[in-house]
Amino acid sequence: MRHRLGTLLLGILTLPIGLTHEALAQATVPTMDELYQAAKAEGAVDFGGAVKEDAAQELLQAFSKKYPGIKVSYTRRSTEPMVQLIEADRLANKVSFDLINLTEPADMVRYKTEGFVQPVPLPDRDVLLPGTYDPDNYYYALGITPMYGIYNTASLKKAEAPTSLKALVSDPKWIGKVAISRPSRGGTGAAALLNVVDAVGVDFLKNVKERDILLTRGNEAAVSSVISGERPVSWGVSGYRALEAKAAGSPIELIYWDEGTAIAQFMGAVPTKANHPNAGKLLLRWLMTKEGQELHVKAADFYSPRKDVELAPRNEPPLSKLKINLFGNDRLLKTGQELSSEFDKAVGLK
Amino acid sequence: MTGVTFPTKARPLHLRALAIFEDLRQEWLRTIIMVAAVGIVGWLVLYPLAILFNLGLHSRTGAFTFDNYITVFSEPGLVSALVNSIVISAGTTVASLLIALPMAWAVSRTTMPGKQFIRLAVLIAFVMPNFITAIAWILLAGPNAGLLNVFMREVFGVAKGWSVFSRGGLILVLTFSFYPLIFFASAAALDNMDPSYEEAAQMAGASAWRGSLGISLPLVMPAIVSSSIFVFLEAMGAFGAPAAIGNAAYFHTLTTKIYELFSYPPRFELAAAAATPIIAFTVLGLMLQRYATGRRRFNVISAKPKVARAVDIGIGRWILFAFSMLVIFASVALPLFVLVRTSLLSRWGLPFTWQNLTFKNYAALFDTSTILPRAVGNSLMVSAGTASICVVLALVIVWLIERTKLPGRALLTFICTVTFAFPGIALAVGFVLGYREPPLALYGTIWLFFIAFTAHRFPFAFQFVRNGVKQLSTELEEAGRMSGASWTRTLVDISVPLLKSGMMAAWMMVFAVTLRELSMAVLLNVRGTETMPIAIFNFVDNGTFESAAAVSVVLIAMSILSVAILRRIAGKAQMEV
Repeated sequence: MRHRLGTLLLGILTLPIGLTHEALAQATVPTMDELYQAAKAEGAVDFGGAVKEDAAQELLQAFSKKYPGIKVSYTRRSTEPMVQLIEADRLANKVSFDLINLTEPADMVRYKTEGFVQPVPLPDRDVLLPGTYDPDNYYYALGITPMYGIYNTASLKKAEAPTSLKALVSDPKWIGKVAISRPSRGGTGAAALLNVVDAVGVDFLKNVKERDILLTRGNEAAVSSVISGERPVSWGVSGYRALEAKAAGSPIELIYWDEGTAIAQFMGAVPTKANHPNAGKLLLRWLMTKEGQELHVKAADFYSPRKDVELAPRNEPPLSKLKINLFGNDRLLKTGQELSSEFDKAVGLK
Repeated sequence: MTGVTFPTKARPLHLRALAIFEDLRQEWLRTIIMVAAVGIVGWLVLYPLAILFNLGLHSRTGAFTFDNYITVFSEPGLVSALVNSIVISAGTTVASLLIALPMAWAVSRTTMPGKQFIRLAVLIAFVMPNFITAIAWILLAGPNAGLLNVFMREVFGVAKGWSVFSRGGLILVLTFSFYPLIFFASAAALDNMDPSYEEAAQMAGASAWRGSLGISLPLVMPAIVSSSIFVFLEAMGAFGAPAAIGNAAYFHTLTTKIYELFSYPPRFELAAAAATPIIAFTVLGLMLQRYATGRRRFNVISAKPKVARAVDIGIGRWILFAFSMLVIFASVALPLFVLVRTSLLSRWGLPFTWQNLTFKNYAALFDTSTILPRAVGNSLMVSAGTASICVVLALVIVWLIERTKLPGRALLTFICTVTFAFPGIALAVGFVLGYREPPLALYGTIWLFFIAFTAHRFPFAFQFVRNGVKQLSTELEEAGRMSGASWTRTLVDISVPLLKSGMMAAWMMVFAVTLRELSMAVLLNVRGTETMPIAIFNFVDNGTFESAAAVSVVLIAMSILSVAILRRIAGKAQMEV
């Protein structure tokens, strides 16, 4: 009897803990107004990320209009140089940014483990697509983008362009015709490689060197290689770059692979020792609101990780109409990184 | 007027020490200046290096270990990167010698036409950052879309063109970037050489060709050896071009491998250790230089310099002219053409038509909402400041090494040149770590750029000033000293005017290489301290080649303009380039 009573008492006492860590966290989430007041006192927010400069400026202008009194600045670096900048800062015990944005899940996971970034709970996290955020609220996909295949319309007619990844990596006619961003350079390239391996099997890596694939430093260079005709096809480049180039009149067309198109994520997080932590949190949370996300889609040509944002960039089909392969960060971190490393080994770069 | 050395009877050590002490006491101002200069250079170079070595001796958790150094020489990827670096650097040095020596001799000693133009054009090749040259050559000799290959395919039906994505391609790009080092050093030495030696040879019956080549070549050998070692080490430390080409050609050099160790996840400790082989090559290079130059002195600048009579080589002058123009066409005209063409496009990849032409990429340089105006200002300020600091320090240090018998000069020489080929990106780690806390909390400020660039580029000033001093006879200084002038007065009134051209060349060299410095800046820059190469790098990284090309064109134009101004100030005759 005493034992049963004890168990009951223990159960009652531990009930709030059982109410889930998540529920408690949500209960302590400050309102946007509270956050704004605290951010205003800090006076500034420094954002560093991979989002295009002009798109980021448009977003930050809208943020400034909504939350006046906070000076905004943006530093654009793609993931690899951004990681280097952050690491140099860390060596010097400095933090340059209040909000960082990367495509590499491995770095975000490492930053979480090392305590470099802090959790920022969102009150409406359940509207996000699964796999686009950290379960412990340390980072979120600010935007997601399909890793479209692209081809040069001056080099290939529509009927000649490949539609299947399997054909692209096995048919001899595509040897020496493909350009990609080196997969080990960041999460976008790793996602595209994972997509190929899922489609054709890992054995293709054994002979990948013979495919004479042009490896570039980043997606932008891969897009440029296809535009210039150096290689007529890519199996996956950042969608927002491809859309922008196409809209600007570059001779490229998108390929929606029969096997599905990979999705890459642009993750954001607030450093634990940010100089303006509340402003960083305010910017992150605002970017993740429906309003912020809709603007993000329009300005940066991303798709939104929010299920309630139907907008698609530049009149493209909504995400729900595309055959996509959304790899969670866990899979990208484990399999994606491993495959990227295998790829490097296979071509002689490891 | 070759100096004659008389054997002297060795004095006991204590008497030599006393003599040195007495010398120092009598010339207290010289002593203070020299001690300060040695202290500054020692600090600039050794402090970050010590930090780097220490970093290589520790694991990520801070435990002492040799594992990082063992890994460098056992991990296959690092070993193959090292082999690639050696092969590519050796290839670049040989190719640079083959190109630069005939050109230097032709512009300095023959009646070849267009000599001033060629000197200026080679200078443009030199100031072009090697990563920009690489990009230009990718646009020119990409296997499918390179302009040259398209031309060859469409006009001559050549199905498979030459690809820049290869080790040969990298050697070509590096050669076009570094051959000016040998050209300038050799031409400067030939310009400063007393022509009476050649004239004597010709009077003794030697042909103009033989007289000039047979006499002048051995006399300028120190400059050739020094600059060849510089080229080898520069190629070893190059980062931009290997990064642009190696990736696509499936190979690494040591610097690109080190760069990779900074990401996914960063392994700073291993990166620090991986720089060791480059230091070893620097030491080896210095020893080789010392061996090659031996104890010979080359006093070829006398009190009464003569104007060299150009050697008439008949039809040979046109052959040399054609050769020089071909080199300039490939190393300057073609890349510059591609850069200017790209900078005028509204979007790279679109056809070169009226509809796609724009000046907006240049207008952005004045747009204060971008980093460009600030980057231009920072670049000018840092480059000019670094060049000035380097030349002043170099003058004092070189004098100490070449004109005194103080012990430890060999060590000082090593310290002054050790950072030459050090990968900037690895060295930058030492600066970030060494200057992060008070009283040296300079990370994140432009001041650290001055310090870091001075440490990295001081060897340029040191070597150029040293070459000048080596050629300067001691007679004039001795005459000054015997007339009662102090060391500082002798230096300022006699030696500096005679060395003016060498110092100007040193200043210009440091200015030019600092203006294009990327590998250190990429790690040191934060918001507000961007330089032009950083802006170019960001544009390339962002895929906006047209903007990168516009900034590159402006950077090159600034370099040329600065040299033109210098020539005007210093007088044409005083400039060696």
